[in-house]
Amino acid sequence: MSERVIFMSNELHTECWRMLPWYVTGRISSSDRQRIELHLHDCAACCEELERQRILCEHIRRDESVMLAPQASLQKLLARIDASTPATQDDGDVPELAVERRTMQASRWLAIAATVQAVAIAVLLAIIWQQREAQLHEPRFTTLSRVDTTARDGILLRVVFKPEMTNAELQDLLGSVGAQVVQGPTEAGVFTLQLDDSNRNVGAVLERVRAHPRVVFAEHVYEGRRP
Amino acid sequence: MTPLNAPETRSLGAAGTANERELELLGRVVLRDRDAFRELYLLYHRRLARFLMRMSLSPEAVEEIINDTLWTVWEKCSAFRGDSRVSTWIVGIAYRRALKSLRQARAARSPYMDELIDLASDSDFADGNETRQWLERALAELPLEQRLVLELSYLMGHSCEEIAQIMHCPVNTVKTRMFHAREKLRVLLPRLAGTNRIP
Repeated sequence: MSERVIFMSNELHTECWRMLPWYVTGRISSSDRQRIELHLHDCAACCEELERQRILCEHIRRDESVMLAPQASLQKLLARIDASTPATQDDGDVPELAVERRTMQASRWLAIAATVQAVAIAVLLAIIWQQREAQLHEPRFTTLSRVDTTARDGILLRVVFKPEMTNAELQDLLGSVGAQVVQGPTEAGVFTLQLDDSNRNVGAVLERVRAHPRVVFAEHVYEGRRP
Repeated sequence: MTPLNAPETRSLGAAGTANERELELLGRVVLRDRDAFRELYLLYHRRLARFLMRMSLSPEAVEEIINDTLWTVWEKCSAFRGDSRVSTWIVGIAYRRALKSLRQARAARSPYMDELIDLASDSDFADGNETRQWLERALAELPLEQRLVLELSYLMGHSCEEIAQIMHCPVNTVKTRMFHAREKLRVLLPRLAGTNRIP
């Protein structure tokens, strides 16, 4: 029994000894405080150690190190915060909310961009479809009065010959009116003739051409500028 | 036997009141209140500067560690759940940030302990200023973790449990580190006890 009392006493002494620093600073529970104070009444060694620790604590707290001026450091930190804080975050958002809001804003812009892109694609497809439809429905014939922009400058005639028209007859006709074939025949069998520079009487030429038995149609369609 | 009569003994009640005030400031910082952040900064600049300067870090390193710590507070304040005192959380950040600098600084130092023990046995050693220097050099020779437990307890006023949180270790480890620090200093402290007070 007496051995157990001694053991308990040693255990209490060790625990009190280990806790003395926090007894010195007061950062200890009230129950520990009471146990230590009871032990201190009977333990000279702990009292001596308590005095040493009190002196050590006093020494450390009385430190006379030169203190740094905080204002300059604070300004540096505030500048660092300003540099890293997006302008949209100055309205009182907490970081998580700000991040969430930025994410939502980014998502909204992405949605808008995707919508605009989709509309643009739809418009382009509509235009392409319209052009394709227009091409499909475009008549595959050339009007006799249509001006061919690729034709040369000069007096031009559109002429349709009968199928029986031979090459020799054509050459004779062209020679007699002073003209040459510059285009044709088209799918519709239309030839474009250009009169020689010396031949300025279009009416007389047309009369002679129309009078040819192998000519179905002749018309003056274009008079280009003289160079 | 008369118990402690330390002049700067801090009660649990006072610590609780300070924590409530700091919690209020932190809540305003979460809402990006810069006035509250300034107040919190000035409060902790003083505490952390004393703590870090005593670790023999350069003023530049101290300023860098303090600003990194308070930067983290600004960035992460909304993640603080109040599981510990505000000071335990902030000092924990500073502790982790400073640990690397402290280890690097200590690696380059030469040992003084033998010289100090010889000095302690010198019967002519009684001058107050020399005693102060002697103590500082003795503290400087403690292993880093032991020195930090001592400073966190005596300078910063943290409880054993709070230091365990700050250092991310069991409470018993804190007690053991403190025990070994005291044992090493005890070789030197009998003479100090004879002077009663440090001038």
